[in-house]
Amino acid sequence: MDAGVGLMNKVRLNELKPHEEGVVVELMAGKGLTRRLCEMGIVPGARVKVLLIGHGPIVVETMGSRIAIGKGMASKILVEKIRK
Amino acid sequence: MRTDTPQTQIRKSGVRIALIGNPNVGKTTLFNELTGANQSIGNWPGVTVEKKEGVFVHKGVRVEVVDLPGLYGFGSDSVAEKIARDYLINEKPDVVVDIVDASNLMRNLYLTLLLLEMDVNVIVVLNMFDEATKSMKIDVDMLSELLGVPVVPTVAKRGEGIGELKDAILKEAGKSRRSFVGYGEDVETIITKIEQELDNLPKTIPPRWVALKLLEGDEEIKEIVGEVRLEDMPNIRGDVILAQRRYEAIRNILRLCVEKKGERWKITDRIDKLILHKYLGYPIFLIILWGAFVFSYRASAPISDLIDSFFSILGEYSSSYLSGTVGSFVSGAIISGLGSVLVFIPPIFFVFFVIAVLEDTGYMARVAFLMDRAMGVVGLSGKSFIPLVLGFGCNVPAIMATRTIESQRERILTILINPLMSCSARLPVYVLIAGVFFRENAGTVIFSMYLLGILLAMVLSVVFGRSVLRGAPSPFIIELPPYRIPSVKTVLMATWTRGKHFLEKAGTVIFGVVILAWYLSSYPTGTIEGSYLAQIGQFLSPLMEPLGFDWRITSALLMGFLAKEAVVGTLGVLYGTELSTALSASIDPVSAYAFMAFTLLYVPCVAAMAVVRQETASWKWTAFVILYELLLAYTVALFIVLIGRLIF
Repeated sequence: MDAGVGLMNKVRLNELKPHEEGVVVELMAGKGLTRRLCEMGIVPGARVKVLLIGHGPIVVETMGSRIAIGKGMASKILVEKIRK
Repeated sequence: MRTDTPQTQIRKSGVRIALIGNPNVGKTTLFNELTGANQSIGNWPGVTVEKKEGVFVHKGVRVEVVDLPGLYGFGSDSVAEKIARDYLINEKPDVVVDIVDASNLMRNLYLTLLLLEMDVNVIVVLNMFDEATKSMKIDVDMLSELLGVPVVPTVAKRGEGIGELKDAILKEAGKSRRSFVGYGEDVETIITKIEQELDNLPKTIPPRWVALKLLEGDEEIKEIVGEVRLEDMPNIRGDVILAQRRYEAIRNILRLCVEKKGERWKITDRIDKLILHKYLGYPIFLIILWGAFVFSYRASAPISDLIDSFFSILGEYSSSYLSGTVGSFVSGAIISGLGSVLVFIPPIFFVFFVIAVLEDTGYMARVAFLMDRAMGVVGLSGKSFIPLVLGFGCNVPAIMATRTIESQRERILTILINPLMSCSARLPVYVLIAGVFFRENAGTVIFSMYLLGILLAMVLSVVFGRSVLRGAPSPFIIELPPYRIPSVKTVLMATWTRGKHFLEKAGTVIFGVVILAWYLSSYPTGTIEGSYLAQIGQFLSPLMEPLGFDWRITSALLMGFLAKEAVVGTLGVLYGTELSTALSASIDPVSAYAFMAFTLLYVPCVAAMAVVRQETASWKWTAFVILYELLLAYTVALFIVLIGRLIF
């Protein structure tokens, strides 16, 4: 299908800039980490928005809450960037 | 209305309920509102997770409340989550009160759905309902109907809705309610198939829950029931699919009963732009930290001094009236023992007060965000930072503050290195020695002690993290709650329950050791010079000779085991009134510096040790702290002496 276009927009969550949004596509994490991410609202299909980038962790908005995620963890979250 | 038989039964035996909810939903405030002062705090058996219990009586029925840890789900790989799930499955409380943040239903109801899967009797509390109604309209009755459980709106910090909640608890107790949210036809077929495979399951464990846990790949459940193999088991990631379907179900529910009419995050986002700013965030943090520090120690010092002088006057007074052994015991053991416990109270209560304020405003989570990177360098996460900084004031509340660290490994690690943060009780020793031996450079010398402590803490964190506490650093993920004005009641209650816990547990240990110290320093001769303490000091002095310490310094260090302030006092007694002249005559500056380092590093005081034992729930770790610190102190002091002798 439109795999080519999709792939071009697929980035790791830590590659988004502040105020950029994406839809979670895949969690490339182990079982425990995947569960924790899901419980906190980061599931495939969820919309996430990067609010802030610190020295290491980032702050994202998802499901009406603000979550701080370490850089290593954010790099395991694949998102489809939403172009505005 | 049904028959009132279950109700009569309840009245006889009382009702047991559990409180559960995500962090930052006001669970503690609600717990306080329900139980008032009738609560106790302890640990869950065998682990170091805090357990809070309380009781209230409503309409003649006694209700026991257990406050479960704040959590997002029920994995078997997290200690707190496993405790909660074992409790719910095995102990079967009559009612489980699920507290949700009314403004954030989307995420909070996820836990509610997990609870419904466990076949527990749920009441949903929509807490902070006032805050929520500012930005949305919630149809409470509709929500209750869709979830299939009672829903009670509350504003816990103002006591609103508590009466209604208590009524609902009594009404629900004794009922067994089954309600669950469907996962869609395809997933439900698989669930039913797995359920059919589970034939020899104990009656107490709901088969649907086990089926779901197996689908999620839960390790513990797999071990219990064994791998269930389905012939046409689709190749899917069960955990992700179930999570997606749960959020879908919640979205469908909320579509029918919530109407958004505003944005609640405006102010928080604006404050965070500054507080979490890449560069400005740090100076702001330093100012807040410094302020908190100065406040808690300035505010407590006069009260501590007052207690101290009160007890010394009392001691003198009693020794002038009572003589002989009785007098010595009353003034030397009872009064000074009680005094040394009570002197700790003001700083501990003020530190807990400051922590409670910072937690309740939502700033604590931001500190973890700011410091995560820096702490990562030594193998810890941002959550370890505050407990370490608090150690500069007093290690006792600092070690207790490690309770906010979820990862057990990182928590123990933070406890192990905490005594290296130079607490305020060690300052009198530095001031005395630096004043006598390093007059012009006293400030720099004292500062070097703090640096030495920090440096060694960093090194040992890395060393321990790669030896005795091996393991991967826990991934950093933390919710940032909206900023809130702290509630006076919540803050005071948190300060009080924590402080009381310290008094009960650590107080008894400290008191016992104080009595022992009195015995050692006044027997057999009645004077400190001929006492067992002096004898032990003399016995140990060959060991301390390479450091240049004489038996008096050794004895003083022994007394410092009690409280590091005691070092100066004991030196005063042993050297007589002309302390500074006598000191400079008996040791050289190099040994004096080594003595300061030794005081910084050797065994934490007895209060700190009692709290290490309490928080790690392990004598092994307590012994480990004592041994490594003694070894470290001796090695570092010897190093200082050897290098110092070469140079000077």
